Amino acid sequence: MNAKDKDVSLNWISHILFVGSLCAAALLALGLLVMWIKGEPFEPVVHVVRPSLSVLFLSLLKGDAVAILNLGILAMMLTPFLRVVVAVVSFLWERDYRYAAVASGVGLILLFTIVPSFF
Amino acid sequence: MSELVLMVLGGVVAGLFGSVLGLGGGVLIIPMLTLVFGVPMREAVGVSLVCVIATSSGAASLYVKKGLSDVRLGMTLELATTVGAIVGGVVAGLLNQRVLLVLFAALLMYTAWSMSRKAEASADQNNTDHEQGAGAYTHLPLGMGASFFAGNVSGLLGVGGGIIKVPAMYLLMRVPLKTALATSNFMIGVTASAGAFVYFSRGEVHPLVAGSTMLGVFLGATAGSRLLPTIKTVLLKRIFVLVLAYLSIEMLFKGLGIRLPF
Repeated sequence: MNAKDKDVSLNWISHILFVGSLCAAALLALGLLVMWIKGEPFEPVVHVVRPSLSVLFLSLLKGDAVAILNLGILAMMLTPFLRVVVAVVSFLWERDYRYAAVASGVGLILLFTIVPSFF
Repeated sequence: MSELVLMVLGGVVAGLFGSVLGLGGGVLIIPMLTLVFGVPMREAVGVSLVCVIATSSGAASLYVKKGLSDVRLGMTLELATTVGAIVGGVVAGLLNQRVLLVLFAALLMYTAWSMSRKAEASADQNNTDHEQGAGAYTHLPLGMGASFFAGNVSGLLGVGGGIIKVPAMYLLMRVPLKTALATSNFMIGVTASAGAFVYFSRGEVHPLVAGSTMLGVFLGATAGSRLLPTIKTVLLKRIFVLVLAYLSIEMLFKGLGIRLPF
């Protein structure tokens, strides 16, 4: 591994964090804008049930504001996981197998909470 | 609809002061949601965790690019923080919300105390421009233990946990302070994400509250990081020590079911 390789992997991790949070913020702004245009009521204290993936997908097709907001929230919540995946690939690229294994471990722990959230 | 605008603005304020004061936002978001908007404590924690991801991602991106974060050390400690966060999130689901309020009040008081001690020291630290890169560390098992506890607090109370991780890395593991700060920030996103999914799966991340607050926090934190070099934080920190102490008392009383007359 040389310094240039290391810079490339760090740049990738940095880009993922930046782009992921920017996309999530853009989706949130869009969701709130759709809500405002449609004049939907804002009820912040009502308890919500998490959306299933199929309901989320169908609601997105209808341009539902809450579904767009949920997508933005999920994009933000999944950005760190994506960063871990990029780290695994970067460490493998650098042939740093020890830290590729460490990053894979972190990814598996995250999957342990992510997967049950959708089923 | 006016409540939506207020929540976005509240998020902007929390994000702005959080990034300027190095608080990460969680300690300001939860009192705002519970005391001002009447959001139940567990839902406030769920929303706060998502907001914490938003504030840490922007800063972490910059620190990683500059090479300030020790990515390898961060990844290793994340093995402990993520497990801690999941355990914290699960335990929060079993506890009475009033217990969470009282625990959060204690955390706020500790944050205020810690900030009052560091107000002068951080002023000196801001003026030094020595760049210490990633490198060696000691006492990894102790660091892992502290990281598990930091993750636990993060998942239980919806904060980043930097207030535990930074001293642990700096004092126990002999990591340079700047690297400890940047590495802690790098770890916060993954840790908060592990906890956030526990709340999400329980349906405790309200899309409207999370969406509006997180957008505000993102905007506030972005503006705060640009403003940071131009403002003196010592006086601001002293004011916020009092603000946090007051919020701590108010949250304690709310947890105990007592209404304050002011």
